[in-house]
Amino acid sequence: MRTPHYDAYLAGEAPVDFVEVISENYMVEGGRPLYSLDRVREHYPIAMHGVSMSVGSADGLDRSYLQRLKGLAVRVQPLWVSDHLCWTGIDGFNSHDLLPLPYTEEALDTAAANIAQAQDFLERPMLIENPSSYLTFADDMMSEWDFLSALCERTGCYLLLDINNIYVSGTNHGFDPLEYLAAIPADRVRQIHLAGHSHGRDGLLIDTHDQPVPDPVWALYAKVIERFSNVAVMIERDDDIPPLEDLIAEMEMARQFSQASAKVAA
Amino acid sequence: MMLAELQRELSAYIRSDGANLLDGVAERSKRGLPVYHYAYRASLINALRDVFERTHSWLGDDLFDDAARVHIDRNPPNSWTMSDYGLGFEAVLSDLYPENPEVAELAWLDWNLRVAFNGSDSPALDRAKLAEADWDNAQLHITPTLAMRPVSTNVGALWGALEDEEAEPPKAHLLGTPEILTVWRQDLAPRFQCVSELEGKALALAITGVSFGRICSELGSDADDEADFAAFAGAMLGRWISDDVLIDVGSSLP
Ligand SMILES: [Fe+2]
Repeated sequence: MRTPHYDAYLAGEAPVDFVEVISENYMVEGGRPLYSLDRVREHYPIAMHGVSMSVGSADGLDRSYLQRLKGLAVRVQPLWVSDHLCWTGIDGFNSHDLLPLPYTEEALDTAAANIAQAQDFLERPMLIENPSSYLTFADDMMSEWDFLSALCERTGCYLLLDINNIYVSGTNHGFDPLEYLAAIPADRVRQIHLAGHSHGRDGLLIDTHDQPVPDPVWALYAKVIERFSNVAVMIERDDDIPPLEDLIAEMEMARQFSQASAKVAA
Repeated sequence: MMLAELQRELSAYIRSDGANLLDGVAERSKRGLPVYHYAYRASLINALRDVFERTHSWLGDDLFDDAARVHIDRNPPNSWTMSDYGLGFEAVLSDLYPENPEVAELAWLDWNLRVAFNGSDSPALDRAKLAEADWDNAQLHITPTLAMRPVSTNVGALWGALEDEEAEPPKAHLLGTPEILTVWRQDLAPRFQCVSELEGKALALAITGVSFGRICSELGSDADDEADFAAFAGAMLGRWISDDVLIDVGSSLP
């Protein structure tokens, strides 16, 4: 849900099955954001999608963040709470970016401990999303899909698979998105993100979320959606927000590929 | 490399001028480092442009972004929420533009309008209480979203004029007498108003829990004309009520 489309959601007139919101935008004291969210909640189930938990931080989670997040979850009673497989900073510094983790045993221990702590505190399982990344590390010992599978096994968390991010990272790091998708435990996937990307320098793809879903991402989605039953599909658009009708058209496309099984949102 | 060490190094790289790439990154993905270096500044500059919308219009892209970069270098973000990131930007602008106080004053206004937008909710004033209130002794409850500061320029007029990006904004000028700029939220809408120093004093006293009667006797004793002051105080209270600055009238103070 983005500001230009507020009115349609507030009136319950957007033809979507659920609404995904950026949690942090509503982790405020009061005023219009929470007022609007409460109205939207009267019409739609809400998925809370966060960007600031930093489940990969070596120095642990921010307690006051967790408290605020839980407060919002109690208010909204969301379908689920998600965040990204990433870290945002350390020693008090916050880059406000989704920084990549090295895929090592130590990072797996760290992320698993942090996710377990968050799930205990929130009293609900989380969904973890694969980020787009532009870096890999010399110490990497496993693939991202093995890392995510291990996280699910260790913590009982679920996955929010971003098909565009898999495509972007696959292009940037030279892995096959189909191999990635085949290795993901299908029963842990609760939600799918579809989005667009841009072409950066040096042949890198950049996850800008300012474009319609491009053909290769649709193609991947069409190939894999049958593996996942009962997932919610969400078209992400963070910039150059088009009219709601355009996003609805993309959602219809997502619906067609997935027959009746998927719930969709923009 | 230990995870904590790697995270410290990557954080330091992102904050640096970007000249030294860090070790620990796979050789073939060194081309990805500048993406993070760039994205860090770009998203903070965007966040500042969003909150400090009129300050941005006043300075223009280049000067605004230069100031934002100074803020980013001086005050790396340290809160979980990006919405805290505008804290301290006004002080940076005041350093950068000592001869142009309207710049920092505009920034203060932009920032506090955003803070009020997201600020605590408070119940609407129960108007039935007004008739029964013992105004001499009753404590006044001012909205928790109220912020104020003295200003030396026509910042209110500037802010209003900058709404229309096409129009030529008025020139900034110093005020003959300093005023108090107040910001608060009325229902869901942030508002601002320039008031006299006398009204600013009254608000400050009300916030600390002084009764309306005491406020009047403290401030009225300096007034030249008692009747004039009574009329001023009555009108002021009327505005606090109609603008939802006053949210409750408490019981009488002992
Ligand atoms: Fe996503």
